[in-house]
Amino acid sequence: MLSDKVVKNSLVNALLEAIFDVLDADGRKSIIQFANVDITNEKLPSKGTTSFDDFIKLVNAMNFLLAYSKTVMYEIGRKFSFYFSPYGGTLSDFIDLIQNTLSNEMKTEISYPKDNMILIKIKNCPFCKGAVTILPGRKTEGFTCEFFKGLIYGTMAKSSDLGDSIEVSHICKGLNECIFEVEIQKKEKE
Amino acid sequence: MDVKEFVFKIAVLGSAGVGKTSLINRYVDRMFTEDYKPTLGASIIAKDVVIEKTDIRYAVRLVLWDLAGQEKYESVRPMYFQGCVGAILVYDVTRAPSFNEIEEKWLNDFKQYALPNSSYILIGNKIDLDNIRKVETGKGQKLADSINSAAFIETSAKTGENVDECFTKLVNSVLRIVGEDV
Repeated sequence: MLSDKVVKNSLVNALLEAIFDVLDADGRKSIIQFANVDITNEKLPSKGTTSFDDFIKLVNAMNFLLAYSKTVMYEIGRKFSFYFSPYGGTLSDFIDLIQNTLSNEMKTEISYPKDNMILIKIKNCPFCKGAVTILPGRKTEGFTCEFFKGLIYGTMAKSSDLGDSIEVSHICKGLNECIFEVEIQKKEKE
Repeated sequence: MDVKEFVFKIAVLGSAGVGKTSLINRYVDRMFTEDYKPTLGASIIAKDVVIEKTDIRYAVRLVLWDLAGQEKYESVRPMYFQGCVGAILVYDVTRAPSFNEIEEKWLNDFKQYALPNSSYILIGNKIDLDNIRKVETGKGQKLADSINSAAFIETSAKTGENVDECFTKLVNSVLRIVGEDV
């Protein structure tokens, strides 16, 4: 059944621009064609919204065609953080912004168990959708979460001078919940 | 009958203009066009293949990565190889440099960045242009033997000759690598 939910095009375009940066024109074309949505390389969404179903079709296409391509997924996530919020902001602001752009479909919880550690729990992550079903009989193997790892890294590196000192790891629990652990290594004084 | 499902990421490699995209188009869409448009980045296409044996059916989803042959993509290409279990190494039988680059460049790159124990086959494409051929069949076979290619096939994406066979051989070879008795 089609839902009446929508996604802001700022998010759809950020995703498409990030895909273009990593896979160039033919890579983006492949994902759009596989998704079978009314978008082309020459006709990207303008201002306004795209249906949530079309957005999920794009995410599914990306998850399927980029299966086992962890670094590609990570890089797309990292670039996405730039295109979606070029002027930076805190991680929590950024995740709130995604959540809001996605009609609050995704639920997140951020906690700080240690000084140098951030835990991000994500429930009902739309970027995971399709990863389980589109590869029948296969576990997700966590490759979908590489997108979010890149996104978290990109956001934190952009909003601070932490850069190389950030380590993002994750536990993928499929569609239900993912936990990302961000560890910030202390930099040695020069 | 038992059904086993697999997803294989396959790279299609070779110098610019050897016919990588044409081979994939012929295999997936049964079409060929004379117009040459270089691939920009990576074109990715999925194709479902069923291989039936007496008591087992293999449902294989191929994710074919048609990689741009141009030099400008050299820095990003290693990222594209990640997770590949197989490769189709393509040269153009009418252009000797494309043949020389198989071992010098494409196979080295693939072995360096793809999964260990992956499989690859060597393809000499454009045999419809036999009158201007520069690389003889024996030379191709010799290279295939020396690089331990799972198979050597000469194809024509234009006429469709041997195109299906080349993909089927690679799929069978990858299935054997993952432990199937095919």
